[in-house]
Amino acid sequence: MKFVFPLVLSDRITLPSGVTGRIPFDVGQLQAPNNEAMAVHEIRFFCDLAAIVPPNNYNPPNTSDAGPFLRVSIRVGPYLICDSVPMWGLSASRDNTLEGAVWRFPLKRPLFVPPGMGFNVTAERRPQTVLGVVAEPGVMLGNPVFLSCTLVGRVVTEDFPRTTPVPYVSVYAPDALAQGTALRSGQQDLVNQLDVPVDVLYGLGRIAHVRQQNRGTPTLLFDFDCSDISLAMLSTLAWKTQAIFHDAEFHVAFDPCSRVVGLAGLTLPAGERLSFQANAPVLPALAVLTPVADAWMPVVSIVADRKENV
Amino acid sequence: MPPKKPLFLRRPAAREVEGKTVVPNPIPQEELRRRVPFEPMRPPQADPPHAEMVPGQAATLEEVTVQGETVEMIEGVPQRIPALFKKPVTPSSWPIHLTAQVLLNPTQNGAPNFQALRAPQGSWMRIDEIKFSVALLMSDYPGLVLSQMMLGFGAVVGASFSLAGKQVTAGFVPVSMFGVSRKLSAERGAFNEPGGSPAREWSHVEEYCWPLSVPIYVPPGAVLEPVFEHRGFLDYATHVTVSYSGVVLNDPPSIAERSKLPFASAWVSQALTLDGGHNLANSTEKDLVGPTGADFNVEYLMGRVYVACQTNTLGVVRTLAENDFDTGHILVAVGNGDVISNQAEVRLRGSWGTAMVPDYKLFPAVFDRVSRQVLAPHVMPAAGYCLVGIRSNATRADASLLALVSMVGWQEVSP
Repeated sequence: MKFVFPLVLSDRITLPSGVTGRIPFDVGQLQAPNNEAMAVHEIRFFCDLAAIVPPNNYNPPNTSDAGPFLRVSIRVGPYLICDSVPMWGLSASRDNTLEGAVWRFPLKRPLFVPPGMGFNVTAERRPQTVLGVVAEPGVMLGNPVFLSCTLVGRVVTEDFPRTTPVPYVSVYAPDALAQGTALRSGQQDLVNQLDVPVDVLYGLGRIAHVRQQNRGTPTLLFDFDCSDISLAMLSTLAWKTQAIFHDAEFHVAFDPCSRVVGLAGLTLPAGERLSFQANAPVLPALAVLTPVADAWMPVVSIVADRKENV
Repeated sequence: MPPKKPLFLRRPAAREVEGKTVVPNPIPQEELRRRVPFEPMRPPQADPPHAEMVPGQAATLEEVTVQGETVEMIEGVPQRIPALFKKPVTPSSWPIHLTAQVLLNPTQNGAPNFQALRAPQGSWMRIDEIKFSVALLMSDYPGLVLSQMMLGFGAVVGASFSLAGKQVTAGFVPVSMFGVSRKLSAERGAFNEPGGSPAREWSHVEEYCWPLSVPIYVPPGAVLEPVFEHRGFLDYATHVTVSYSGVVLNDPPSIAERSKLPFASAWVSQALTLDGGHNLANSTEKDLVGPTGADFNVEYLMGRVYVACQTNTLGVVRTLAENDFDTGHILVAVGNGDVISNQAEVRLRGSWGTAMVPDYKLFPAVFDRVSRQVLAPHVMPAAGYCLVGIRSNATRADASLLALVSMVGWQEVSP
């Protein structure tokens, strides 16, 4: 491919509060103008909910992260990239307390998009239910969420390839599970649902802690990515009977900072899946706050790619 | 007459090699292949054994001669180590770190003492990273209490570099706009100076790094000359420290290595009034430009948005805060739902007619909120430029918005 000049395409949608279901981005905004071909290097999402907090009255709200509560599905032309994957399943972490509401999915190899082909991206909110209380992170609750999707790439003018690597992401991301529950991926999780084999590049693993408290009015507190390695959770990731890691501490098997585990060299045939299992931690009750329920939301994904004809 | 080949197509065509795109180096192959001859260290050669020496009778020797140096032996043990064997291994390079400081008053320019940044005599120096520290010291303003959110020195202080008459920057580039942001809280800090100040009288500092993708080779005794300017957004003198991190080389770099030099250019918008209208700011053809008479190999663009506020609670104090706070928080809409940085939009177009960002898009959606960067490797032809448009419809009575955009990459120079 002959790369010429950079191109940044972006679109922004509104995800209203209380509305489930997928909302699409504008395909026209995520398509190279002037009927040009392009190569995409990075897919990025940015969520802005917000007003400013004036710098002379700085009073930060509770830290929270919409990562497991926002899901996206991405398709480029006829090729599926991911289906209903939480943001945490797409993006390695750059800093646990920093990233807030931006998720970055750099592609290992540029994705060639021929003229006229665009990205079909949809997003959805996925609030969780804990003991019958439907809730989201405090900052999202009752507020519309504005989500931007950005494609960073370059215009291609010559030497168009005949095949292109297309990324593929599959995830295990169940709804909130009570503490002490066994976390077990199912037949539709971490699966290669394509009809071609995929080359797995790396895995991502995070787990969120959701706590419902009863202080008069039921409230739900949300703790973001629990990379605290003192929360021991032995986990196993395997392909059939071959363990990739067995009874390994979750927050060490998945790098505590980036949340990545290297899986390069693994080719997952069509229809095959990886299996993940762990036992969710059990937190001791806090006498002061009298928690009602604790729940866990794991997000474990595999990021792969395959060659497709264009 | 055949059509004139566009300037930007002078470069050899890129080709695919094993799935990777390779752009052939325009440097002649013979220069690329040129290497300083490598001479392996040879082990020291001992003198030939004495004619009368009988193998196995070393224990009886009273002395041994090694390259003309006689060493006394007692029962086969040398009484000292010959000087030959004490010669240290000489590395091909040795780390070096040079630092200099300058005090800048508002709206003034200044340069540090170049002697502190001079390459050693007789040795080439390779600079791999440039670091900046910009501080406001309470010892300069005793009794002044600043807002804890006061920051923005990275936008206030600009730097310009030149090496032997070759410009590394197009004018002054804000020091926060060279290197990729790693984390806002790592860039800024507050501290109490030695000698003590009361609790709220914190000195403020911001620190930035520019890791050079293309190192700078400084000839022996030469200086990569920095000049700084204080743009005057903040009415306080700032202490600027610049550091060069690199190595001293035993052997001179090749011509191919000396043929590249980093380059950066930047644009700082005029202050946008935040009155709810669609206020615009546009760069000109002289702002985001490349090196004079040469192509600009751009690697990435940086973008930051600052909000300048006149606060009343702290008297007449102007603060310049970078609005995408490093809190990891998703800020909740309150009151009338003011949004400043999240309602700043940006558009980017190149002089070659191609739009990089065709229409106004949310600023933090274009420039990654964490790194402030958009990876955009390309070659901007000589005499080319990039045009940036900023607009915002945010509302805030006592504030104005400032946008900074820079282009960072490298240029080819005659060695």
